Amino acid sequence: MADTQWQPQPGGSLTGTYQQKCSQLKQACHTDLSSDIKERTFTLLGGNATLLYVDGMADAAQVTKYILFPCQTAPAPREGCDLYDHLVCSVLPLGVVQRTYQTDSALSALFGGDALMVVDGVDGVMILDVKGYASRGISTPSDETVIVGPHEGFTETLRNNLTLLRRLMRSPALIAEPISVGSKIPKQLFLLYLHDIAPDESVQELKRRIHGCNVDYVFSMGALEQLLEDQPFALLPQAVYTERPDRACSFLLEGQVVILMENAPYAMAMPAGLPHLLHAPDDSAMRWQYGSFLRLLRMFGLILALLLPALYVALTTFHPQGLPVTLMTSILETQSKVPLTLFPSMLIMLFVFCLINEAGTRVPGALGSGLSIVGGLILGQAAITANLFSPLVIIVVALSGLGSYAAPSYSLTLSIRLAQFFLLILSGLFGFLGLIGGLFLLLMRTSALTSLGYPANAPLMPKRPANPDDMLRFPIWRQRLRGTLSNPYHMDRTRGKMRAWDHRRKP
Amino acid sequence: MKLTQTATQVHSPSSQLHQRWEAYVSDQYKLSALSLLAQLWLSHSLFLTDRVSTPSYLSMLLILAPASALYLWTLLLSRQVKKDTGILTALLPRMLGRGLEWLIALSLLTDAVFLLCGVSSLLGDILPTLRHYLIAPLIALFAASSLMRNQPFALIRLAGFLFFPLLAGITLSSASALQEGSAAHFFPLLGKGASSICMGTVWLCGNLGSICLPLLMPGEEAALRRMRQKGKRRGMLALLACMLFSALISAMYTYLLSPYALSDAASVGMRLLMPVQISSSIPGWSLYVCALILLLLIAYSGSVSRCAAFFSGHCTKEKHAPDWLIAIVILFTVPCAVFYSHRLQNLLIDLLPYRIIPYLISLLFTSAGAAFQWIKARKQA
Repeated sequence: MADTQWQPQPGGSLTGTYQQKCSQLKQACHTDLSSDIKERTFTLLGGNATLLYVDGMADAAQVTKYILFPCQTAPAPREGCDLYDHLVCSVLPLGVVQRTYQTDSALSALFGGDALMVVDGVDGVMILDVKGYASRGISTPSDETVIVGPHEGFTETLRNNLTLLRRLMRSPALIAEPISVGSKIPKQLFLLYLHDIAPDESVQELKRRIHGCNVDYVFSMGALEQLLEDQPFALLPQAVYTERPDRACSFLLEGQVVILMENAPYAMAMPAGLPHLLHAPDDSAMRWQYGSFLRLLRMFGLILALLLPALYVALTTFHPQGLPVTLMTSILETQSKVPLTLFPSMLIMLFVFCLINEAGTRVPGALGSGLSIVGGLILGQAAITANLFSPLVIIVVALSGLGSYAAPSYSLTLSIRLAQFFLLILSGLFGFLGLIGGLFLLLMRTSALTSLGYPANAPLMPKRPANPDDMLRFPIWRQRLRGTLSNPYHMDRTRGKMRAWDHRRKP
Repeated sequence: MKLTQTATQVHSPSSQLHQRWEAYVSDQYKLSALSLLAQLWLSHSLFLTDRVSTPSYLSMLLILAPASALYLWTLLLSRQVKKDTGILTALLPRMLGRGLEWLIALSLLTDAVFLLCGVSSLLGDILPTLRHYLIAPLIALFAASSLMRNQPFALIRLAGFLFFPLLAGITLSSASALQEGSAAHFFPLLGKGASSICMGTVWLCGNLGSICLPLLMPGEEAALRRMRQKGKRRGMLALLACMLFSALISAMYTYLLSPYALSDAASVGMRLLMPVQISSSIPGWSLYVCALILLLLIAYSGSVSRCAAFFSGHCTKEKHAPDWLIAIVILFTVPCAVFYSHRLQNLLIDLLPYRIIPYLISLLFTSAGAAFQWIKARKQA
């Protein structure tokens, strides 16, 4: 019963008398129970008016300066002038003043930081933009640090995030469509895309999916991703996150759709796939030789992380002919002192590594370094001294851990770790058969992955016309295509040479 | 369609669609080429190495001539019959109807059995601790779980992606063994004699023909119709290149192995592993084994999915075989591999080349029909 009372009635109208509208609104927002909802009744041009706002969400100073003071000192309207028009044109010095007849939109505005004003003699309810809630200032991105490139990151405030993007892309082509998700407590989103460059199918499909999310409340961007993705059981993510406005702009320029959400300090881009997850933000800001080298290094690290533990177990347990005799002898010598066989040792060590990593992430910053010393050095050294684990196992786990840290995306790191366990178990049970069979299975699932209906790993699997900016990063002046995700009519970034001044070569 | 291209023909949804079709067909050819290569590798190690002996590479080179002649003949025929399709696909279905699809499906089923037997024998040799009867079901399980739920698309994409890395891996690892070989293995130049070479050539013609001809069947027709002439030529060139590559592999095998090194009792695994067994390269062994298992697994999955597609009549891009049919095909291949024996191996080897006979008969009929049409057209003119 209580549930239905507080929930705004969809389509409930605010069309009665002044008293009826006031009581309807007060009842809907439980002003008697919620102490932070402020109600102020005053006289306006001889009639009554009631102002409602949420303390902390709306700026009290602005309420006094731009609403209460002008209203109480307002001049009388001219003969025949509508009271609403008079208030908007001559009394209220505010940028945004709207009128609504719907209870749900009025409540949505109220809890979004606006003030509601019910005036005797004015139809509906006036929404006055006096937002002024506390928010974190723009700061350096914590998870996507770069050496070369800007150092501004998104914050939890939707308007600030939109402004950051607008500042980078000062063009009317950047469309920011507001959309909300969640039936009980709607959450504000912005769907951003470049007009003509993002294919209409992507935009419409994303809107269709967002409208089709039948949930009461979406608490985070991750939850929204799970509601929108094509294949919820896939290991790899089908959307890419960034907390950097410059990277969000690069997604927009590729024809992807970017979603900004209230209280989310990052943007999510769809469709996306493995190539997007492998790219770091400063790849494009560096010269192409350095960018390509770093990208190759990163991919080598990921392959190491994925395959090294499984390969080590398969070779030492099932296929010793694949190892040099000296190495095999050394492995057997160290392993002979250890009570556990290689496969469970490796499994336990990988698990311990993940545990240290997770504890390091959750522990307060000041304790982080202490935990690394305890976890990495002391535990590792003690385990070797006590002959619980072979030193080679620890080296293999450390190398694979190092490789997994090379992934620019945290989701990718986690999926690599899960795949690592999967391959390790298979190779521990069936040697190369398990390793190659598992790898084949993973590759098949990866190549079948789609994001918003697009093949997620294009242009690698399947091949598509694209920028030479996938495994390697070729020079900027050779990157003349937007990519497979953009509108085919606007796929070319430019016509003619990019280095038009250079007559020595033909790029 | 180079990944490093800097200009594109894509300026409309239709050209985009066209390029996607082209990429799809290209990937499909790569899958076929990988299947072909896997079967060549297997059949070479099983049949040619000891039966034809030294000049097995000569047999391989000899089949290039009949293969090219066959291709030119079908091209000529199809131009006579129908102008808009330049391949055999337009002709054979007309002669045999649905029966042709079943014929191809049966041919692909034997391919799948052959490949599963090969890969399980190889794994049986390198995994002596694992129970023999577990290997084939495990491989089948990997293939089934990969192919279920409309994954044949994924297999085609994966084959396109892995084509060059796999070839490079196998070539590099085999090449690491080259220092152990000897040019003396090429002598006597005619090995066991010209009759052996001819026998090998006939066997290869039959075997390769029955593998290659289904590639030109209705499944690809729908896709190829949307492509430019360039695409068709490229597809055939890929096959030709694959055969040349196989000839090189064959020559390499001869260079590495003494013609009489293998006994009749040697298993498929032993034969397949021979190039790296004699090599002193340690990483080469792992690379070779992993690449070979992956190649055989892809080829096996490809044969299974195509076989199921032909059985169900869904041999176009839009539709793939239902999961239950894929499961049935896989279930059929598993007992053959579990109860794999020398007798079955010999039976398969003897059976494989004869699969070409129905194709040749239908080709003959088609030729007669085309000649009749041509004469009729000339009379009318």
